[in-house]
Amino acid sequence: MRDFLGNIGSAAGLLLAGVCRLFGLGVRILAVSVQGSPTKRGARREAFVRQMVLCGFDSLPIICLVACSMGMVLALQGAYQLKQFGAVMYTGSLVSVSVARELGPLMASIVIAGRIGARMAAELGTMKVQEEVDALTTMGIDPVRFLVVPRCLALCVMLPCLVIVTDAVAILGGFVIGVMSVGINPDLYLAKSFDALVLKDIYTGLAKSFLFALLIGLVSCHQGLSVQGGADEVGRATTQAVVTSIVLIIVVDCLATAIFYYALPT
Amino acid sequence: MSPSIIQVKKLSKSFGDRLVLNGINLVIPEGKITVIMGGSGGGKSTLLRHMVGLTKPDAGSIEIEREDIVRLAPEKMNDVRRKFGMLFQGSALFNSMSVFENVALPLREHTDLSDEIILIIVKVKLELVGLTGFEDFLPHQLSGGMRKRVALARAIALDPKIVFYDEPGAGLDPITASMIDQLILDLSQKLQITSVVVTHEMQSAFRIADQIVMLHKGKVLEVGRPEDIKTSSNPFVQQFIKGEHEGAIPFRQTREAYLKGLLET
Amino acid sequence: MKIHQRQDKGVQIYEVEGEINFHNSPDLRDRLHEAIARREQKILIQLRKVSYIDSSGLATFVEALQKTKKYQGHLVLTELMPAVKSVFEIAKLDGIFSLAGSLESGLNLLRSPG
Repeated sequence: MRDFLGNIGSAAGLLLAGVCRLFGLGVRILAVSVQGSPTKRGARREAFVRQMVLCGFDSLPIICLVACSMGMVLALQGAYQLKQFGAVMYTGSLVSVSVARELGPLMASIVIAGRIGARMAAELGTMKVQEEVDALTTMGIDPVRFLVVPRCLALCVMLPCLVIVTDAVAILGGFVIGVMSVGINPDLYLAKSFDALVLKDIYTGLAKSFLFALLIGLVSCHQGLSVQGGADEVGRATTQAVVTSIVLIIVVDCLATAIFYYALPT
Repeated sequence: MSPSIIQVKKLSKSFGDRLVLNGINLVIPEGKITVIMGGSGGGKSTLLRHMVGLTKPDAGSIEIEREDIVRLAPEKMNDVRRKFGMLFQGSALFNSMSVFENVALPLREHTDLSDEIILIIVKVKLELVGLTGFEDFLPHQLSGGMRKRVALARAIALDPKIVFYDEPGAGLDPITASMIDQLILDLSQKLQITSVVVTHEMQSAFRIADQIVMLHKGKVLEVGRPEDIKTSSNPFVQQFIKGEHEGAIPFRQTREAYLKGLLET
Repeated sequence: MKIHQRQDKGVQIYEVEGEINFHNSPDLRDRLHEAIARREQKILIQLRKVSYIDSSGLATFVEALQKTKKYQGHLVLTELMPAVKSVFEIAKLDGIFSLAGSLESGLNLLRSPG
C-alpha cells in the first residue's frame, strides 16, 4: 500500500515537474516572440512559411479523408438513433453541432499530433543527437527562437484553419449520407444543419484548436529538445510526444468544454 | 610567451559519481595553437564543452578575455560566443539547409550585411576550405571530409578570434586530415587566430601545436611545447606518445574487479 | 572607421582610417557605391591607416571590383599594412586586386594607359 501511494506520489511529482518544464518553454517562446528580432529578416520568415506549408497544406488530404469519414459515420449512426424518436430530419443538426463543437477540433488535433508532433519531436531529437542544437548555441543563436518558435507559431496558425476545413468536409460527408442513404430532403438537411449552428459553436471550436496547437507544439518540441543519447532516445521521445499530446488534448478539451459551456455565462 | 586569451581555473565536473574533470588549471596563449591530448574518456571533450559554455562546471572558472563565462548572463554569453567558432566532431551541419545557407547562417543572424556581401564572404570561406562550387549542395550529398570542411567554413564565417576544434581529424582520410591541419596553421599564422584543438592523434598534434596539454583522468598531466612533451620524463606521457599498451597506464587495471565480479555473482 | 574623400586629377581617392569590420563595412560600401553609380573611371583606396580588415570588408572591396570592372573602371588599393595584406593573401585575393606599395605607384598604375 505504501509502495502504491509512493508510486502515485512520485508519478505526480514527475507530472508536476513536466508541466513546469513545459510552462517554462512556453514562457521562453512568449518572451522570444515578444522581443522580436531586429536583424533577422528573411531567414526566420522562410522557416515559418516552410513550417506552415508542412503542417497546413500538406496535411489537407489526410484531414479531408478523416473528416469525411467522420461526418458519414456520424450521420449513419445518428440517423439510426434519431429514427427511433421519429426525428431523422434532425440528423443534419446533430452532425453539424457535434462536429463544430467537439469532433472537428478534436480529430484534426489528433491527426496533427500524430503527423506533425511526431515529426517535430523526431526532427529536433535527431538535431540534438547530431550536435546541431549545440552548434546553434555556440553560434549564439537561441535554439528556442530558431527552431521552436517558427514551429509553434505555424501550428497555432494552421491548426484552426485545418479545423475549419474539417468542419466543412465533415458536414459535407454527413450531407451525402443523409441525402443518399438515409433519404432526407437535401434542402431540409442543409436548413437543419445551419439552423442548429450558432456562432459560439464555431469560435469555441477554433479557440480550443488554438490551445491544442500550442499543446502539440510545446510537448513535441520539448520532447525533441530533451533527447540525450542516441537513436533509441529519439524513438522514445517521438512516441512520448504523440502520446502526451493526445492525452493532454483530450483532457484539456474536457476542461475547455466545461469552462466554455458551463462556467462562462452564455 | 604571448598574453593569455583563455584562463581555466580549478575546473571540476562530475557526471553522477564519476569525476571527469578534477581541478583543471590551464592558460591558453593568444594567437597560438594549443592542442589538448589524452586518451578516450580523459575529459578532453568535456573540457572543450566547458570552454564554449555548453556545459556548466561544478566548481571553478573559465575566463575568456577576462570575462568569466561560467557566471555570465545568457545574453552577455551570446556576445562572447561571437568571438569564437567551433568545429564539431560530427560536423553538425543543418541537414535541411544547403552548404551556402549553412555557412551564411551566422552572418545572417548576427550582422546586417546585404545578401551580395554575404554571398561573396561565403564564396571566400568555401575557397579557403577548398570547396568552391559546392554552394548549392545539401550536406547529405557530401562526403564526411567535405562536410567537415563546410563546418569549418561555417565556424570561421564571422572571423572569430578563437576557434575550437573537437577531433578535427577523426574519421577523415590522411590527406583531408592534413589539409585541415594546414588550414589550422594558416589561420593561426596569417590571421593570428587562437586555436584550441582536442585530439588524440599524435602526428597531427606534433605538426601543428605551439603548446600541448596532456590530460589524464581529469587532471592536467603536463603542459609544454611539443619538444618538451617529446622528451618528457613522465612515464604516462611517454607511453601515450609511443602508443604502447603496456606501461604506466595499466591496460589491465580492472582485472581484479573483473574476476571478483565474475566469481561473486 | 573614418573615410576621407578627395579628387586628384581625375582619380577618386578614398582614405580609410581605423578598423573595417562587420559593423561599419556597410558604410564603406555605401560610399563606394556612390562612386560606382557615377561610373568613376579611376578609384584609389588608401589603406595605410587601416589596422584590421575582416571578411565583410574584403567582400566589400571584391564587390566594388566586380562592379567597376563591369564598366571598365579601375580600382587600386594602396599601402596595405602587413596584417591587412595577409587577410587578402589567405583568401587568395591578392592576385585579382591591383595592389600598390605607395600612393605614387598607385596613381601611376591608374594613369598609365591600359
